[in-house]
Amino acid sequence: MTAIVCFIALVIATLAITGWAARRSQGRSGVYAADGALGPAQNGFAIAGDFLSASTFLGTTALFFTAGVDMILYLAPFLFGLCLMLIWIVGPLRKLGRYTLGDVLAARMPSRGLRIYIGLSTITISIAYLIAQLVGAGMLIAILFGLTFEWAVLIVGVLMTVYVAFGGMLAASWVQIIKAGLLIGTVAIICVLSIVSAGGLGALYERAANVFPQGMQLFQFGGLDLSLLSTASLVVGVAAGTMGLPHILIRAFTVRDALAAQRSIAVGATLIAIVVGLVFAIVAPATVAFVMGEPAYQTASGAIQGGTNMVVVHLASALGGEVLLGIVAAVTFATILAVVAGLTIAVASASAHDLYASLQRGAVDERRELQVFRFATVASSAAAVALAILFRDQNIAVLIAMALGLAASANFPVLFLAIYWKGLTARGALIGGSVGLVSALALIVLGPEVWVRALGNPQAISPLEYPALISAPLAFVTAWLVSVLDPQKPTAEERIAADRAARLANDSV
Amino acid sequence: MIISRKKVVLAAAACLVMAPVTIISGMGNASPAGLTAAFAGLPLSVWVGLTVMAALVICAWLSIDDESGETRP
Repeated sequence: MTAIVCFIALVIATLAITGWAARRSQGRSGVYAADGALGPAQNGFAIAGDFLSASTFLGTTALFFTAGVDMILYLAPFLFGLCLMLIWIVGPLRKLGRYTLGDVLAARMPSRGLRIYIGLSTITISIAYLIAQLVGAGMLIAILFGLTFEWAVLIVGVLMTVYVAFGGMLAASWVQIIKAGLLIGTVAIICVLSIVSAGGLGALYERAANVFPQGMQLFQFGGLDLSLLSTASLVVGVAAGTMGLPHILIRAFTVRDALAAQRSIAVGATLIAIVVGLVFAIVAPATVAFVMGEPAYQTASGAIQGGTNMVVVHLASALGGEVLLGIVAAVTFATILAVVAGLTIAVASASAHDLYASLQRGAVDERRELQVFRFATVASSAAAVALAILFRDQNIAVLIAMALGLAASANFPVLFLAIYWKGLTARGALIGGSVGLVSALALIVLGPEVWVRALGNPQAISPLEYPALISAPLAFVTAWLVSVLDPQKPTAEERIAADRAARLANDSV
Repeated sequence: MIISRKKVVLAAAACLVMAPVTIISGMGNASPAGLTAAFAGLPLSVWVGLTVMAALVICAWLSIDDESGETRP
């Protein structure tokens, strides 16, 4: 009952925000970038809201429940990637771009082909990530609210369409800000209740180790039993992928200038580290201490009710009864909504501002472009909902690995070289990015997740689940080689743009 | 390729922060058993994880430049 009340309150609040944002979001600047009017703290909260998905909150805790402290390998690399994004990408990105990644490349190399490439790459990465989120959301909401998978996905799809189509970036940002606040508050409450119920932090760890089948190995690295190569590929893949994720990168355009963009990433990283640190150090051990072995949360066969992804929900029930359970369910729903809204913005803005505008001859009518944005929002949401229902039985890890692999191999090398290397030509960027994209896809298909688990082959051809360790360097080398060998040397206009990009990238350092 | 010294140093620092936890986890069950021991009430592995995240956050704040360059409106 509490969950339903919290859910309805959340939907009403977010729709009210959308109505308010719709009146304020006028023109390209308002719809794509909230007029660049967010403050660094607001944008930092929105970045945390965009970043902390349901898998961060529920999935990694489930990983701790089964494999112990190795869960840090699925959390710290995101923070590592965000840190490198701040060091290398964000400042120059904000200076060169207005609304999309296509703007950044266009400022450096005025090439229609390259702009279409980055638009398509943004859409592919974001849709893959969106489908993964929707499949996870559908399963989770179905369990939490007792709905069918199809209805759960459809409700999320309709809400994200309304937020983005009517409220644009401003509505999506405030949904993310509210979600981040709710998530931090909820995690803090669970932490306090866990420590109080266990009788202290030390007692909590002791209790967790006592019920874990391998005892203190819960707190020993190596529980996932990954090889050094697999661990390195995971860390590099997630970090490099984070640096190329369009829905995170475009948040740099929602603040006034490059300094504000950098500050907002630092605020976001701090908030993410707080949530992730609390989940790692307190919430996850508490799930083991209070849920593992408890008959109330087990099925007849001894498995966790609803799967291990539900251990945080069971923990909430154990600590705070129906009230806390309802709050956690509603916060999880808010978490899902915030992430999918950010992804939908990335898809719709790339469709309208990069693809549609590139295919037009002459000046593009702003009103018409924004109509295309709204159409793209509805179309991409409908496609994502349909694909999520179609792929409901697929492993979400494959879709996440695909999105991060493509972002690391198709987006990040092109953006990095465009900012820092004056010798990069449009052809080099296009071919380098395409090689990164194709090699990342090929390595995922030949890797353990698809080749062995999905296709049933006895052994994987590529040992890597995250392909960036190979595909990203391949993209870098190809872009460099093609640019060096390119007979079509940069025009005077392109050389001036490259000089300006390089100057901006290292300004005042 | 023009990358400032500060950016290279900070990126190297972030990589150095991330490297130990990658290597220790990648050693599988051969990871040091001492990491299960407690220090100030927290298992050492929890300290390692929290320290890595704190160091990355510090690295992020240090990398903010007071960039005075132009920004597209």
